[in-house]
Parts: sequence; structure tokens; C-alpha cells
Amino acid sequence: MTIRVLVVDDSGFFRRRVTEILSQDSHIQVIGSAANGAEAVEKVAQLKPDVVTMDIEMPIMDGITAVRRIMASYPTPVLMFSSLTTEGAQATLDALDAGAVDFLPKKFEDLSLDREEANRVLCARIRAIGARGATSSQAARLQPPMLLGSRDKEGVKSVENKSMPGAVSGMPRTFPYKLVVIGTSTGGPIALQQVLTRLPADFPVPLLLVQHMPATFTPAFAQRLDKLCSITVKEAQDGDSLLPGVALLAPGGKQMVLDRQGARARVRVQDSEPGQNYKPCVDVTFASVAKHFSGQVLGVILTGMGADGREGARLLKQGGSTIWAQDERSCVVYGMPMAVAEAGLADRILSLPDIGASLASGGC
Amino acid sequence: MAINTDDDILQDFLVEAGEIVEALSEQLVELERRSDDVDLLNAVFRGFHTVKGGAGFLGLTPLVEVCHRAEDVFNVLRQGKRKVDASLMDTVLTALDIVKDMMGHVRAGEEPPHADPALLEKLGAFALPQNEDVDSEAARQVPEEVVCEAPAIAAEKEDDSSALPGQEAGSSSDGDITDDEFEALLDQLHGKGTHAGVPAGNTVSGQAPDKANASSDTITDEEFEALIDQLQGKPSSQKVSPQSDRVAETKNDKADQVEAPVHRADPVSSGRETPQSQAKDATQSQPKDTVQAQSDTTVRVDTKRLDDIMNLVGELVLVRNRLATLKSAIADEEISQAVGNLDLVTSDLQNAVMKTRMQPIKKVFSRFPRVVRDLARSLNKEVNLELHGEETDLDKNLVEALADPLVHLVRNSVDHGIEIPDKRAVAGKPRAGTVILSARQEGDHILLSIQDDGAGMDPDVLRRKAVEKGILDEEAAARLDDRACYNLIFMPGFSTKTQISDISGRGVGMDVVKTRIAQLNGAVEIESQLGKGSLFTIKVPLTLAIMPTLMVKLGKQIFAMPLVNVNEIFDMSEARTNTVDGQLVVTVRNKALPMFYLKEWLACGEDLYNGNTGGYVVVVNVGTQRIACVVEQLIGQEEVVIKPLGALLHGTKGLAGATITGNGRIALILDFPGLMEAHAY
Repeated sequence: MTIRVLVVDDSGFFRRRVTEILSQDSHIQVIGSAANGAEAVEKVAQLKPDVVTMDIEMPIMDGITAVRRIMASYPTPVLMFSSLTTEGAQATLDALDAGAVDFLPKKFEDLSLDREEANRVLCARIRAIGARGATSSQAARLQPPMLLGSRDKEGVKSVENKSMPGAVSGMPRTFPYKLVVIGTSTGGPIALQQVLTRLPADFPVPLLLVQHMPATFTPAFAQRLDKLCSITVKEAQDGDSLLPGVALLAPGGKQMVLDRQGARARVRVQDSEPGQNYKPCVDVTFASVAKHFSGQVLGVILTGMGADGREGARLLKQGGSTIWAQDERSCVVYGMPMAVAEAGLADRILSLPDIGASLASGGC
Repeated sequence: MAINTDDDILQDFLVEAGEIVEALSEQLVELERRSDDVDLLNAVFRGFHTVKGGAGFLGLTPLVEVCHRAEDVFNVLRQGKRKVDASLMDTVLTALDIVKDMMGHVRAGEEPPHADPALLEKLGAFALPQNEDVDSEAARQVPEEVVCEAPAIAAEKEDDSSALPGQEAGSSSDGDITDDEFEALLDQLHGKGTHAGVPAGNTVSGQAPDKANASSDTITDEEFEALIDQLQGKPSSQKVSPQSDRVAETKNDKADQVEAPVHRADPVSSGRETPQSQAKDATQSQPKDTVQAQSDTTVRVDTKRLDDIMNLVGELVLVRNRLATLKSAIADEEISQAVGNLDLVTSDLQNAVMKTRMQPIKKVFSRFPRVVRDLARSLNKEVNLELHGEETDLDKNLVEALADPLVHLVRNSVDHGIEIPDKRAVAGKPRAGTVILSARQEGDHILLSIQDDGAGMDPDVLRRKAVEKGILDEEAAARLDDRACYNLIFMPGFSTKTQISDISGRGVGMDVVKTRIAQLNGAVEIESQLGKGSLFTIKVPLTLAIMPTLMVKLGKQIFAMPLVNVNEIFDMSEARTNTVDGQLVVTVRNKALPMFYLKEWLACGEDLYNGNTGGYVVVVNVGTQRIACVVEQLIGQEEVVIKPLGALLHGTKGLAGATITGNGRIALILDFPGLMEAHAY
């Protein structure tokens, strides 16, 4: 199957480059381009592409508005091209919120120093996204009202805000795990948002989150999750203690591992070692968790490309811990959960809403 | 590292980035006038952003650095966290110059040098929201309203440090601080102590207002002092006292900066959908889009290739001319029809090829807003520049060749023409002067004009100056009519300003302007009205490659005179000649013009004085003056293709080139300014 792509960028230079790169892949066909958001919305309706690549900064209509319009009219998977800046992170998260499935750095060097490799990553990403088509979850994702809450002009997060509509309070005291670790990649920002917003503020155990994301994005992402969720979410810092109801997000560009001395468990944030492709890497975090919390951990693998998390899940599983994987239908990219499921490691395979609900109702 | 300039991708980038950078210089100047135009700010932001993106793709790190910093500045600006001011514009414009310079390097196949770190630092400073800034303007950004809005502000220390002086000044100077305001202040202080910029936990922020409520009415002076001390411990508050003094004075200043801190409060919403920007959007009648979608139907062609084609067409024109001459010798219907067709097709082809070399004069014009802006600023004048006819097309070579003379004339208009605002006000004119730069096509010529509504030129002053400078004696000066006086400014060594400013006198005088335009087979004219302003008109041919000429014969040789120089022709027998100061002159309508026998200068080896008094007088314009040339025979008007002279003759003064005439002979093309220089002076 050929994946038909619409390239949206206000720079002709960039449109041509992206088109060139994508055209090298025989499975991808660039069927058109648009120079601004308004044109993109029109062309999506007209050409019905399988995937749209979208720039954020454009005249007439910016990329985020365009994504919102596209989702409202012709839901189509959109890959954002983002600047890896703090501002870029905000805009990208807004775009993901609006319905974009994934993002790549606009500066391809950030993807890989090797141009060929970067090109391959781009093509692979397009293929992965295009293979899914517009999933039902994608359309559904637009519905939850809490996603829109992020654009409210609330300066300070108040206690009242914490009572989210989706959050069920009054957790059963008998939560069967001591720790929840979640690993995800493509589609993860929104998937995490959907799962974590279901959890009540008095969630009884700590959480560790590993989302493949660049270093400049994770602070903004943690902040956003914190704002949206009843539980507290923060980017992990070296030495952070594990606290119930607090989720620590692995910082981009680093590795987050657990270190336990006696009863005290702390998070260590370390530089990546050579050979660790993902920063942060789900396997690395899962493995360190498996070492210190055997048998009492719930590991969750959400949507994402590749197979990161499989080996970590294996270690957890060997230690007697429980593994959940997201089901194919609700995944943006059924890669990482599939790897876990096919390796026979998953105790349960759940849809995204079920994962949130099950966690909130006591992990059963 | 050398850059491969043959790389298509690189060329693609240079074309697009070049267009963007050109648009940016206009937009930036425009921005100074409409500094709160969100669309414009967005456009500039995107401009830098796009150049950065492309440069990043190509790994041009120094270029990325500068663009990135500039982009940051405009990101802050477009979010309303900072206002455009002159020093910011200066810095950004410098940055743009550096971007241009770097692109020049890239174009030449060199790795661009890294930008001056000082500039990057400066840009970095401007990329901070204004109230983090320590310059004196920061104090003015502290309106009372900020404090009223404070509960909505995410407590960040920068806000505190600027809001606090306002409070302090308010309470100490006029004591009108309200409880509400004070609560707000406390909120901020409490919030900050624990937050340090990151909303860490809901509990802390939730408690802050409560605490403030509890203590708002009962806070003691000591507690207040303690809070102040706490703040003063921070580096950012070193400026507290000078600021607070200022705040007291400027307390009533307009509160238009309110948005700044409020926006900071909510980074999620501040980006694109603030009420402010929406309001601005609504009031924007003409959103300006800079980066137009490039049509994908274009092909990039090396100008060398176009030059080659033009050359070949030139040859074709010559062959056509030759055939047209032969045709008259052979009275054959079919041949003359075929030659007639050839004639038509050749003309069409010539026009078509010429069009491919055409570029809009915008290329040159686009730099003027910046030139005028910089100049006006350094001279403390107020000048509006109007551009008309930017889309007028002319030959690429001409566009480039006209750039310098035009810049000089525009500088001249701003420097010498437009008066300082006070003087203008006294004269009953608007304080801001206007310079109108316009271009239009008229037949096979382009007319460019530079008009100002400045002081105009005083012929008497010019006369006096000319005498002082020893350019003319008093008598000669008195004889000049007003128009001739204006032309004096084109004389070498003539400057009416006693003090040479570094602006118009950048080593290039007006005489050079005149010469350059003459080299383009063009002419400059001046009109001026004292107190009303001046008008410079430049007339240049559409193209440099093909030139209409007047063919004349001296002895046995044929010469081509550029028709643009030719003023009038009359029969030698009607000429009234005289000798004044040893110079042969001819009187034309009561004006004595120096007269020369061109044969003396050009037709070597010919029998010079064979007693022949026949022939014609051709009056030609040479620079500012007119001279009369005697030629033996007039052949007629002919369009010729200019061919450069061979190595042997190259650089011969007075000859612009050679061409082949319709009857197959070679004719030299005269260059009158050169000719005069070589022989008459």
C-alpha cells in the first residue's frame, strides 16, 4: 500500500526537501503540498491524504489551528514538524492536543546526525502513522473536555481544579502494586494524558512515566500533565523520592533509574550510555525497577513505534510483576504494545480508556 | 569548509532565504511605524524562523544562531511581552545585515563566519520579556494595573521585582495603596518563595491567597520591611531604588504594558490566542503575507546562460540588419517577404529574451526603507518614504547598476533635501518630510524619480559655491540659468554642505552618480523649487545590450552615437560659429556651445582639413553640459548590439564598444563622457 502524504509548510524550500526525502521511499507518495494552514485544510478535504506533515508557524492559519480544523472535518493523521525549543514544546503539545498524532524535530540533525538515517526515520514514521489510518481513538480523542482545559487562562492551579470530571475519588486502600511504571512513545503524550487524568489525587502509589521525547519537551509536558491531572506530575530530578499520587516523568535526553537503599527508593537521573537508542528508554527504567521492586510492580506499555519496553517488561515479568499492554485498536502506533504482547509478556491487553479506568478502580 | 554552490538544495535555500531577507528589511522598517501590529510581528518572526529552518537543514550553524536569536526576540514581541523600541530595532537590523552578509558568504561558497558574540548577547537580552530587562525603560512598564491583575500572575520573581517598586513608591510617596493591591503583592511574594518559577504543587499555591487574606489588614511595617529585604537579597532587585524613583514620576503613565506580565502568567495561552492579539487581528485590515508560496512552475537558469542567449540574439539582430540592407538591393518579392518575417520574429525573440532578463525594480527599491530609516535616525529627521512602481521591470544588469546611484540620490534627498523637523514646522510643513521614489516605463526607457518635499535648492547659493570652489568664475556663474545651476551639484568637488557628513559624502560624489548613469546610457535631470523640494529624474534605456544609435560618418569610418545623448541635429551651413577664448563655439538659440570636429579626435589618418565646410552639427548631452559635434555625414538611426572591444582596443577612452552595421561594416560606438575627458579638457 502506498501512503499518500500532504506536505504543509510555508517555506517552499522545506516543502521541496520533505517531498524529496519522502519520495525516496517507494511506499510513500507525496500527493500535494500546502503553504499555510487554510490551504492545508482545503487540500485535506480535496486530496484525502493518508498522512499530513504539518509545520507550526505559518501565515494565514497556523499549524495548530489547521490540525484542529482537519480533525473536525476530515480526521487525518498529522505529523507535526516542531522546533525543539520550550516554545516549540508548548506549541507541539497544543498540536497533539488538537489531534496531531506525532511530531518530529524540524531540524533533522536533531533526529540523527547522519542525514540518511534521519531521512529513514522520517519515512519510517510516516509509514507507521499512515499504516494506522485515522483510528477511531483519534476521533474520540477530540471529545474529552479536559483536553480543552489546558487553554483556559488559569494562572495558578487551585485545589478546586483538581477535581477532574473523569477522576474517580475514593481509591480502594488495597492497591495490589507498590509502583506503576508506564512506557510509551508515538501517541504517548495524549495516551498518558487520557490515562493519568482518570486517576484521583489520592492515588495510593507512586508512578514513573517514560515517554520518548526530546529534552526540551519534557518539562513542558510534565507541567501540562500536572495542570490537567488530579495527581501531581513532575519531571524527575536526580534524587527525587517516590511519593504516592506523584508521577515522575523521565527527563528527555537522560535515563531515569531507580535506586533503593533499604526502604528508601530514589530516582536517579543519569546520562545515556552509548548504545541506548532512546533517551529516555523504557527498557532502562523498567529494568532498574525490576531490580528493586520485584513482583510488586505494574508495568504498562502504551502506544508507540518500535519495541522499547519489551526487554524491560520481560525482566519485570520474570520478577513476578504484572504487565499491561494497550490494545491495537486504541493505539496510534501498535508497535511497543505489540512487541510485549507477542512476546507473551502481557497479563492483560486493554483499550486506553480501560487502562485508565482499571488503574483508577484499584488496578484490577 | 567550502560549500558546494552547485548544490541545488543550497541554491534553493539561497533563493528563498534571499527573498525572505529582502522582505524582512521592509517589514522591519514598517514595524517601526506599526510596532504593535501582530500580523507584522508574526510575519517577521516567521521570516527569521524559515531562514533558520533552511540554514539548519544545510548545517549553516552561524546563520542558525543569529536567526534563532532574532526569532526569539520576535517571539517575545509578538506575545506582547516587550515593545518595539529604537534600540531594539537597531540591534535587529544589525542582525539582519549580518544574516545578509552570511548569505553572501554562503553564496560565494564560503562557510559563513560566526556572528559577533556581543550582538548575539544583545539579541538575547532583547529576547527577554521587557520587565526582566534592567534598562531604564523597565521602570516605565510598572503601571498600577499590573498589581490589580496580580492574583492571576503565576508568581515569578521577575514580576515581583518590577511590581514591588511600584508598590513601594506608591505606598511611600502618596500612600494610596489599597488593601487589594497589597494582598496581591503578598500573593506574589508567598508564591515565589516556594515556587521558584515552576508551579510545583497545588497545595502551596492554593494556600497562598488564604495566608494573604489572613494577614492583609494587620501586616506591620516590620513585616513589610522584611519582605522588601527578602527581595533585595535577589540580584534582580538591585535596581529597585532607581526604578522606584522613576515609578513615582511615571505612575500616571499609560498602562498599555499591562499585558506583559499577565501573559507571562499563562504560558499555554500566551502564544497565539491572547485577547490582545485577537483584538489586533480584528483591526488589521491588510494582513501581510511575506512568504508567498513559490510557484512550482519556475526553472532556475544561470544568468550567464541568459547572457549567452542575449548575445546570440544580438548576433541574429545583426544578421537581420544585414539581410534587411541586402533586401533593398535585390528586388525579389519572396525574399523581401521572408526577410520581413525574419524581422518580425527577431524582434519578438529579442523582446522575449529581454523579458527573461527583466527584474522588478523592487529588488533595488526594497533596500530604501531601511536606508532612509537609518539615515533619518542618525540625522534626527523624520522622513516618510513612499515607493511607487516597484513592479516596473528592467534589465537585471541595470537593476544592479542603478542601485548605487539611486542610494546616493536618496541619501542626498534625506541629508540635504529634507529639513530638520523644527525647521519644517517653522516653515509650516509637516514635521515629517516625504521622499517619493518612483519608477515607470516610458516607451523603451525607464524613468526613475526621487522627489522630496524638502528645502529645495537655491540657485544663488549654488552659483556662489561654484565660484568659491573655483569651478566657475563669477561671470560664468552669473550666466547660468537656474536649471544649469542645479546641475552644478554633479560637478566633481562640489558640495554645498560646509561640513562633510559621513552620509552623503561617502566618498562617492554626485559627479559619480552622473557618470554612472551616463555609463548606462542614461541621463539625470533636476527640478527644484526653493522651499518646496526637489525632483531628480533618471532616464535609462530598458536594456543595456541593444542600443538605439545615430550612425554618422567621419571620413570613411562609421561611428555610432548613442541616441540617448543626441539632442538635436542641424546643417553645418546654418551654424553660426565663433571663437571664444580660443574655443570654437556655435550659437544655438542664443546659447554658445563648444563645438568640436569629431574627425580630429577619431578619424586618424584621414585628411583632416580638406577645406570641406559641409556636414552636420550634432548637439549632444554630455553630463551636465551640451556640446556640438561636427560630423561629415549622417547615415541614420539604427539599433545596434554592443560588442565589447577586443583586447587591443579595450579601455580606449571615448569608445563604448563596437557593432556591425546593416551593411556588414564595423562601427565604433562612441562614449561621449569618455571622449570629452580624453580630448576636450
